Amino acid sequence: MLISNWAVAMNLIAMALLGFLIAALIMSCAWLLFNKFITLFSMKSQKSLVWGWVAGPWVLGLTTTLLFSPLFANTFLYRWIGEVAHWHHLYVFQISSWHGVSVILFFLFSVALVAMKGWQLNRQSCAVQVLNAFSNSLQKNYGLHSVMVLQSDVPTAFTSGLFRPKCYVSSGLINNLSDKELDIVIQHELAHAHNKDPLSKLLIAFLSAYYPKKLALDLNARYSLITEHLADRAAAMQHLAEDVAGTLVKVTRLQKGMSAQVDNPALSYFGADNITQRVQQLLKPTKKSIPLIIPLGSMLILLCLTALAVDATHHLVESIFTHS
Amino acid sequence: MFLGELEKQVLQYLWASPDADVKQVHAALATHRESSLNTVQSALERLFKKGLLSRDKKGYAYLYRAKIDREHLIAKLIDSVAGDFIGQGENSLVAAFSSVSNELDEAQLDHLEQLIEVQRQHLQKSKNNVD
Repeated sequence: MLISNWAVAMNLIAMALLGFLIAALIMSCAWLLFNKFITLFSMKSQKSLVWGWVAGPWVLGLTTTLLFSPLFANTFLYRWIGEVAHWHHLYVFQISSWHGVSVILFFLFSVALVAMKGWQLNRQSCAVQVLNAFSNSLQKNYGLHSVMVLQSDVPTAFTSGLFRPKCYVSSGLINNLSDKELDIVIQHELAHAHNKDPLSKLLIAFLSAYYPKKLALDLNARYSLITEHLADRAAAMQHLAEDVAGTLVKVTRLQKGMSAQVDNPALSYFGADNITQRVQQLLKPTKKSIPLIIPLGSMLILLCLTALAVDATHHLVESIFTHS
Repeated sequence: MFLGELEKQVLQYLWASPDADVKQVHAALATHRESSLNTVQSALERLFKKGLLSRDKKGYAYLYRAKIDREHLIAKLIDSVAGDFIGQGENSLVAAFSSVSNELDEAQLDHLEQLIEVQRQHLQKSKNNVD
């Protein structure tokens, strides 16, 4: 059993974890109810909302901890919160209690998650290193980011790399596109590199992994699509949106043609809706931004709910299990 | 899959000159880099174990040849880099321009092209009206 400062630290971690789990549960339900409405807003707003959803449980868990923390014991807020919610035994912590076990399980899950993502990252960076050895840099200068040409008939273009992303375009794609179409593809990829999308996707994948699997898949797919929309929009700053949409359809056709000819592993698949949505978004972009009051107000309500639920859950569980 | 610098050079050589034994590979690479015969032998062994080379015994020596051509190796590498897209966006660490859909048929693509054409005509009309 821990007593005094270590016990306070461990209790605060247990509080943060309980707050995190409760916030994740509430936000999972909120996603089921509201995720369809998110598409009513502009891509930038949608991007912020997805970030809010994946970072929300962390922010709410930590803020709840601060509310109960003895660091602010002399403040009016602490005394006021103490009247509606409080934490028992702040200066005593038992490792074998349900708090201790849940903290250890959360820690083990996080370590396993970091190891899994690290392994995936390492596997990809090895493949990228070899790809670099078999590719040449495009002659034209595109500023900060390199554009590499892959000698392959597979019509593909992608951006990879976390901190110094590089864009890759295959010779199969270059040979089938006009100069303008190729520039559209490259501008699209450069936008991904500029926005550091591979890195942000990794962070989203990591943070969303704490949600139920279906919701995590949903959040990742939604975020991935938003990054594509934003990269399309960046390309449409330099070219006509109709030309960008036309190029998108043409590249999709080329890839379909290739996949029909051979069983090529380098052609990946995702839903039909994505291409359709991207074309529709290019032709008629959604410009409505979400009013700031909505996410701020929602976070405040969620914070109150989380703090009260932490108190209630704590008391409920401890009326069933005791620490002795 | 990771390939060291020497392994890449060995592969490049075997794509150009298939059916070579370790001495031939070593002699060819000696003009570019200083590697012992044993080092080249180890690189060939590693590539063989990675499934990138095949070999036939001729006398006391093995004759090596690339099992996969450059085009397929690059396709395989692209798949390793971009393959996570298959998981419906989960853990995707690359950003691809577009990914082919097995649900999107020719008629749907035609429909999208028609939409784009209608928009072009609409824009042209608006432009002419302004002029």
